[in-house]
Amino acid sequence: MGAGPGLYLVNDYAAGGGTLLGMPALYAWAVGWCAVESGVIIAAYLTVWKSES
Amino acid sequence: MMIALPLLAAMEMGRIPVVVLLIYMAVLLGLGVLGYLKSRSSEEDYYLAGRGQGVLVTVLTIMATFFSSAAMLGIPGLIYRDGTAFLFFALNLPVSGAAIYFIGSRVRRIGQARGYVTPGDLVADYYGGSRLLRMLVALVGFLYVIPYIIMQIKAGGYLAQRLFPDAAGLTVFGQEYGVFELGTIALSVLTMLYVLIGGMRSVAWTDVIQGVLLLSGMLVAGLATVMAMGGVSEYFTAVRSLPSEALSLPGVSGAWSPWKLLTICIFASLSTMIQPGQWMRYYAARSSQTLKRSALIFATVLPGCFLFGVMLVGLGAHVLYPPALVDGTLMPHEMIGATAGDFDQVVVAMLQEHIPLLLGVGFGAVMVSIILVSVMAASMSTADSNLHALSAVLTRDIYDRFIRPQASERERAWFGRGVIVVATLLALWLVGLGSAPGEFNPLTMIASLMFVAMAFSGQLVPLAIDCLFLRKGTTTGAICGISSGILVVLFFTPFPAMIAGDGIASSWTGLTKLLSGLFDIGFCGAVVNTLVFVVVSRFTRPLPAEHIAAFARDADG
Repeated sequence: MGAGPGLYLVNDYAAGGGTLLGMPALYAWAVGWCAVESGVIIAAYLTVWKSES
Repeated sequence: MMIALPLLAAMEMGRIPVVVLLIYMAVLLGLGVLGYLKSRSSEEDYYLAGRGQGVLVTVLTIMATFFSSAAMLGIPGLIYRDGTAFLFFALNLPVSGAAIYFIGSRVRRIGQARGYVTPGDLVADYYGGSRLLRMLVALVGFLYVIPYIIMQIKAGGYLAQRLFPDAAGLTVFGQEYGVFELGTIALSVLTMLYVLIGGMRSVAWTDVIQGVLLLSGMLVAGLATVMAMGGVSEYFTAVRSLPSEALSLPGVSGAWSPWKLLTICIFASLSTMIQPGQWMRYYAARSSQTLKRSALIFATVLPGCFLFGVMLVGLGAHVLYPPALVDGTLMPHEMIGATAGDFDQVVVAMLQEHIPLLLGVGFGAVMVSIILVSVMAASMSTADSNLHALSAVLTRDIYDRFIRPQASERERAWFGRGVIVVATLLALWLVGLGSAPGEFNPLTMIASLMFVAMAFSGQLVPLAIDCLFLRKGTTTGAICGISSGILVVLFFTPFPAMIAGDGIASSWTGLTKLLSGLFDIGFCGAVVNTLVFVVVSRFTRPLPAEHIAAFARDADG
């Protein structure tokens, strides 16, 4: 979704100068998906990743 | 909307850059000497700093190795050229962070248990001690490291040109050296010196300073650009008014399809995180907990530095100094550079023009110098790690195995240092060839070198995944797979055409152009690599079950 074919969902809107949260749509899309990816890593760190001494 | 700002074509920076540079160089050399004083005279200590690096050193040395001149110059250059499309490169960073945990932890565990130093030690040992495979893994490392060192050295030349535009060259033994050449020589010789002196300990300690510098430099550069354009709201208003091709895919040059960005984000991140320099950092970490924390910090801090830092510079420059088509070639604005390769100079040019306007000439000159030193830090911190890794790879995987198996540890140490000197001179020579007008210069932009280097490194990914997780492949399958992957990537470079001639090369360049327009070139190689690996493994003798079980016990913990 982030850097793949999901970009087609927003690309035409971005090409027309569309915005999300006041930012150019593609920039906001990149920031949003980066936040999702980083959020997954944080969640994995706290819950899934194996701890060892 | 076009923002009109007064420009300082030639800012008077006086001696400030010299002073800042001298302080920076003195600190690096001091850390190099300190690393030497703390070191023990063993090969493992020189290459892995006693396998005892904590979280702070590990995460900063991994970041500093990851962030090269490509991050500070090449990637903003691509955003300046293509607009928002290339912002999606930042999505490879959390994937890279995850790779530190998933790949790094296993590599560290088995490396600790079995005393491995290089990637070849692990891979060749798993696949039955194959000498040919060890050599191929070393070759992949070499093909990654040399282009990466070249692009760091090039950055030194660019910086020297920008910091000292009026400086005269030098004539030594009848040979004239311009400012670009002197910059490349200064960067490479200093880097070489502290790697030679202190090995991994010096490299990692200098990476800590360089990592902090470059992370702050990225953020300050972005902040300065936004402020220079009147603040956040004005910045985004100006960006929104860009032509549609700069606001959407495939970008101004038409290079970035969603599939290409996707394969870059997934595959290039893995390629970068298993290159020899990073692989050895996993061995050097104190514990798996160290790598787990490093992964978390990497995945959360770096995307911010890119998206809210240096990437904003490229986008802002696209507003202020739009690139233009000249005789069918996309060229940077004359304020940024004069050739198609000069998109790389966007960060340096922007900072030099706008920071003094914001902060005044005196303080502005100090800030510009510090940020430019952070660009240099990005270059040196990657060059040092790569030189150091290349030394380990050629010493342990080639010299020790094929040339002088009876060599003492002391002899190997000297050979390793010799590799560092020769590799530095080779990279300098290649940079010289590339900068000579009208001669060999196949890759003008730093970012192009980055993608080729990553593509070669990525051919180790299928083997690494197999020996660390799946354990289904055979030795013959691994050899055939990695060889075919290297060959495929080679066809995407200009070298086969240079060897075979344009006539023969035209039969495959159409296909490679089509594929490289759709996907990351390393991904193309890895697809062939994996297919060959799987098919050949299906029909060749498997590894002994007890060997696999013993390896699994050490890797899985």
